[in-house]
Amino acid sequence: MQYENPDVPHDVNVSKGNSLTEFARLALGMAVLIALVGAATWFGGGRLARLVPFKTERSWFGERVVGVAVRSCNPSHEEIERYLQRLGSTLAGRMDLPPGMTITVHYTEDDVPNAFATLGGHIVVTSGLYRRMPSENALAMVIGHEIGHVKARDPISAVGGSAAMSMVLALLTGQGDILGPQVARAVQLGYSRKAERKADDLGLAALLDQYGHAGGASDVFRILADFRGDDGGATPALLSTHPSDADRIARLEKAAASWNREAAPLRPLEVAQPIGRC
Amino acid sequence: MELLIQLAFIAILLVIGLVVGGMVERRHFSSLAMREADLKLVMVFNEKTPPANVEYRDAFLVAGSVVLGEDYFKRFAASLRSFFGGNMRMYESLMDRGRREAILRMKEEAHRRGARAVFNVRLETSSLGDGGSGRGMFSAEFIAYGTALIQSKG
Repeated sequence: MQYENPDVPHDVNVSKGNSLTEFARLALGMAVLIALVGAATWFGGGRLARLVPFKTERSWFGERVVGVAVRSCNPSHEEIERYLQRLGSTLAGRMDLPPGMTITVHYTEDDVPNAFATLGGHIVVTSGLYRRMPSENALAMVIGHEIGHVKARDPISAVGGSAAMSMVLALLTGQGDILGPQVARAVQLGYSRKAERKADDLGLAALLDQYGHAGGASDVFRILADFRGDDGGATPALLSTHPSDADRIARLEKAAASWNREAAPLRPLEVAQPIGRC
Repeated sequence: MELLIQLAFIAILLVIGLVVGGMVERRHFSSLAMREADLKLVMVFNEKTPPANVEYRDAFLVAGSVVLGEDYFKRFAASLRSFFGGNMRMYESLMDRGRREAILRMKEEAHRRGARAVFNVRLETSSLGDGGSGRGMFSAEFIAYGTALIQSKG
């Protein structure tokens, strides 16, 4: 048999080149890309955040309330929460929310009168606020205001630049928990003056639609302002940012100017809050 | 700070992968060259059948297989490369080593059993990765097999 296996050049199967140089080029390219995306995200900030569909926002958080602690120890907790949810759903129905936007109202034990709108369409009302509300109308104003924030996507956009970066990570990983710290800060501090004014307008419109008048709305801010006056320190988030209390009260009173107290009395709260706290 | 520690950790792994992986690769290549020279007498053919004038008294299956894994540096570089696309150079040497090692092991078996020629040699490669999830190490199995012939004397 006249055959042989000749020596073959084996180096043809592997490309020439320095793997370190290649690695450096790839890593540099990746770094530039990340820096560009990062910069765009940082500066796009809240604007970009508003583009996240509500459904996605909701899917990150589900039933979890991010940024606000929800504590329950009141025996009527569930009953009050159901009532709040009922009221919230009714108002939401009148606020022309985009399809798929859901509102979940929670009730938490906290004596500071406050209400928050946080990520995923969750709204938290404190027992301190509930206790101080003189009428359902006033409560509806608060809830309407918070729904206004959800509708305007304020919770997600308020988290701004650093959170927009986290948000890109959330989009990549499908987990929204990393947004927690930022939103906690934003929710506690309140939103911008413009956002608050807009939320007031939306809440007021819902209130008018629901009861036919805006009576009782200004009570909310009067009570909150009183609380602040008494307490000295803690400022409820509902008040913390600008439209100054007097301004706000004046606006709401103007809206209620045509209200006839006798013809359309304020509705009392449906569920009484038991005395005694935890 | 935590991020820096993580990055330093990755950098250390990369250096280990580059240095140790590179050393392993160079040693493997030189071992391949040496053993290939030793086994030059065993000839391999991809024809299905031997030429008509070849007489043989025995024929049997011989096979050689090897599983090779990547190092951390290759893996990292490959993940960057697969983002931008292009020639996966870091895997070329891995595949080359695998194929040559598998053929060598097949030839070693043929040689041990007294055959000087292997016909109908085929090569197959299968990835032992984890289905492309991007996590975990990539490794591949290379198998070479063929029909070894023991020629009749004369």
